[in-house]
Amino acid sequence: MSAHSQILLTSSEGTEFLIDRDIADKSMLLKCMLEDIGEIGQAVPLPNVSGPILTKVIEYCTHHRDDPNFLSANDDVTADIDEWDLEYCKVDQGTLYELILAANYLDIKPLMDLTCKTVANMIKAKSPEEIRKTFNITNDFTPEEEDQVRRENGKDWVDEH
Amino acid sequence: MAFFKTLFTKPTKTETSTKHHHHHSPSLLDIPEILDLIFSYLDDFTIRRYAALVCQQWCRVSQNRLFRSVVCDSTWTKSWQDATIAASSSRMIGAGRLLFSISVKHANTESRYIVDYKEDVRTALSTIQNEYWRQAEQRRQALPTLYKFSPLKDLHLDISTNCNIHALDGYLVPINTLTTFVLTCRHKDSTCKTTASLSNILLACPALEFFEARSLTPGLDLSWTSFAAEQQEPFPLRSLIIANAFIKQESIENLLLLTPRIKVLHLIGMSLSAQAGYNWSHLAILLSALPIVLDQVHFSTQEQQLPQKIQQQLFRVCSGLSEWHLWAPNTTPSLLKDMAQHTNRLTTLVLYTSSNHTRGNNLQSELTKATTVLHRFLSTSDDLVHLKTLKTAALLQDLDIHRRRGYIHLLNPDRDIFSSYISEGPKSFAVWRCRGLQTLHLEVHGAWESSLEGSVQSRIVFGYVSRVFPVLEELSVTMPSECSIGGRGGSYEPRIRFELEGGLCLLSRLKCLQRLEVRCGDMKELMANVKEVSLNWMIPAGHNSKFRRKRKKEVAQWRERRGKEDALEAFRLQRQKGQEHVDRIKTLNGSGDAKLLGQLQYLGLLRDVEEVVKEMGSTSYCPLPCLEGLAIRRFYFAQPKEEIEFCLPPKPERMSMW
Repeated sequence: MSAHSQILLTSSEGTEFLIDRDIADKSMLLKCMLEDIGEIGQAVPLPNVSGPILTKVIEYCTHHRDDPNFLSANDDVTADIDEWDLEYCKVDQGTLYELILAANYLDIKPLMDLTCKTVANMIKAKSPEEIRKTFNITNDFTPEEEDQVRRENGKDWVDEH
Repeated sequence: MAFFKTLFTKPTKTETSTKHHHHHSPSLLDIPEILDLIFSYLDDFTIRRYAALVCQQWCRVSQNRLFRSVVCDSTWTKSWQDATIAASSSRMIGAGRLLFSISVKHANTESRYIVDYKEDVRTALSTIQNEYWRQAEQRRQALPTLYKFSPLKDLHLDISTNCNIHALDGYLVPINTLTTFVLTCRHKDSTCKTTASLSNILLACPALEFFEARSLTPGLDLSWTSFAAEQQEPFPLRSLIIANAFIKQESIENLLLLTPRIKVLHLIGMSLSAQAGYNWSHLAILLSALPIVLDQVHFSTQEQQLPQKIQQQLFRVCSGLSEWHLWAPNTTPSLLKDMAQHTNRLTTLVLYTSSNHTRGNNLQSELTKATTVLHRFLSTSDDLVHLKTLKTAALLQDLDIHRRRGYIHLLNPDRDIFSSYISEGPKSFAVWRCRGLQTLHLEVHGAWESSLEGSVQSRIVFGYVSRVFPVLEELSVTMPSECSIGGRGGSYEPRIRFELEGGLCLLSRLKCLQRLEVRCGDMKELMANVKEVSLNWMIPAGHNSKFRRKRKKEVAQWRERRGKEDALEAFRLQRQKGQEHVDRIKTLNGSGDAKLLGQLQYLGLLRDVEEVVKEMGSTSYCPLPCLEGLAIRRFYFAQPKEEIEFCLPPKPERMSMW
């Protein structure tokens, strides 16, 4: 298999993207598929990813193309996001959600981690009301339920005496 | 093309995603798997206190990530009266985390009879297990509740003892859901011995991933029954931390053959047996030959230095070094330099010392050397922006940037003492750079000084922490039970001053603080004169008009001392040539810290506390909003309100008023 071979992808609206094989290999879905059936010279349809989102995904994979730790499992969930990634995620909420869906669909774990971590950071240091506002969520608790959850979750170690 | 269609619509998680694709915005978070993944990046506290309260869906999903914790303490005599204590308590059933704090002792000095609570713990653990599975079945048929109910995953056994304990593993019963087991031994003196079989523990808990055994004195012996690799299934252990204990080298080597998933291996300050020391080089070679990739590794032995060659070997068996675990005798500038070369992003720095059980000059030189090296690193290195956790010993003189620690006995000051401190050279005016610390465990030593007892020293420590690390979530400040005095070979018991003037309340500036531990020597004695207002500023109940008035009144009594303090300040400024001293501090710290240095201008002064108390006088004042756990007299985090009540001397019986 040539190191310089290229793969053609088609986004949901039919736009074609020609990318290097090593970029495509960042997606476990594409990698497994290409390993299983070989390169068949046809465009690979990605009916669940729009053109603009696919562009963003390719941008991410290209930036991390030579990253040796790309696939090593990162257990440190509290680790900081590096500067390039931070800048990459400065997109509107809709785009961020679509990136999560695309990362999930294409099975690109580091991108999934990055985007989910970005959403997690949007939750941090906010009150429940602020979180609802940020994500446009309706509070469907009754006041009694809300009170109950607050009471039960209010402390860590429960003393027994 | 048919093949592609099948491939892309296979029923995995993807299917859920595609379903929501076209009406994306808020609906993405309706997908429980995605929400759960997002929650995996949040800490327990944020999930519990904020995320779970957002809506029903978030509450339900958050329950997967939370479990209930229960503490059971043998000093609560009421709870331990009968053998089924814990088990009879419904709250223990379905708790995910359990902490047993047990005091094992001879019933009396002549008696050989030991009160060990072993059967109580075993009964409790069995009952919890059986009841959990029985009730889980019932719950499956009933409607879901908000009450968190999970199998036991996390067990902490904290044992204080004044006698020998054999086969500590006998406290366990088989628990096939347990993933974490932490064992802490607090021997009252160094002659106490405890033994435990690590192999029995691993066999009893086949899902165990994290095992930690710590002892405060070198009296914990871990035994191991060797297995032939082909006879025993591998253990799922991922983290093995042993501190200040003894386990044979061949046992560790046999264990490593059976733990292919191990990622963290810390053998800290291991005790030496009579026969031989550890051959760390051999162990490092074995590690590199095994199909194991470690994230963290640490080897150290009591009273032994690790040769640099072995350290180099360890760098090779470890994939990355985002966490440094240093052993005080090995901590040199060249080691730090070596480690920095292997580090991309330092997130955790821990200094282990033998301070809890070794006394005398060895400890003093070891500590002074290591803390000085570390102080320089912490106050000069630019690589500390990512440091989240710091557990270290520090010398009070390094925190005292204005040289005020001689301000003791203000009404009758000893000018010689404070003059000598004031004229100290500028070697360590620098402030630590790790401003983003979330966890800090600080053991304060006063090596070479005869006074770590006055309230000014406590104010320096608390004042420094409260300003330099503004986003702390967990703080532990301790002082050793004994400090040695240089040259004279003597020792004294340092004291943290819990009275209002000791400045504990300066920590009220830490608005993110969730857990606070402050501990030192004989807590009963230290608490003897402590008033309620010195502690209850932490909780909302301590902020009514009565307590505000009491605090104000106490501060008013410092008037004379405040006058003396101002006079001393004038004298200090004159001796240190005022602005020149400030300029020197500024030069060392760079201009970026101008604001912080301004905040530290009253460090150590009664005036610093006075200002905080004044702020507390406002009716809109908010006490530590996130504080959930407090440990002052207990060895675990209890609810702040209860711990405060437990600490304070009992109130005299209320006189019957008629």
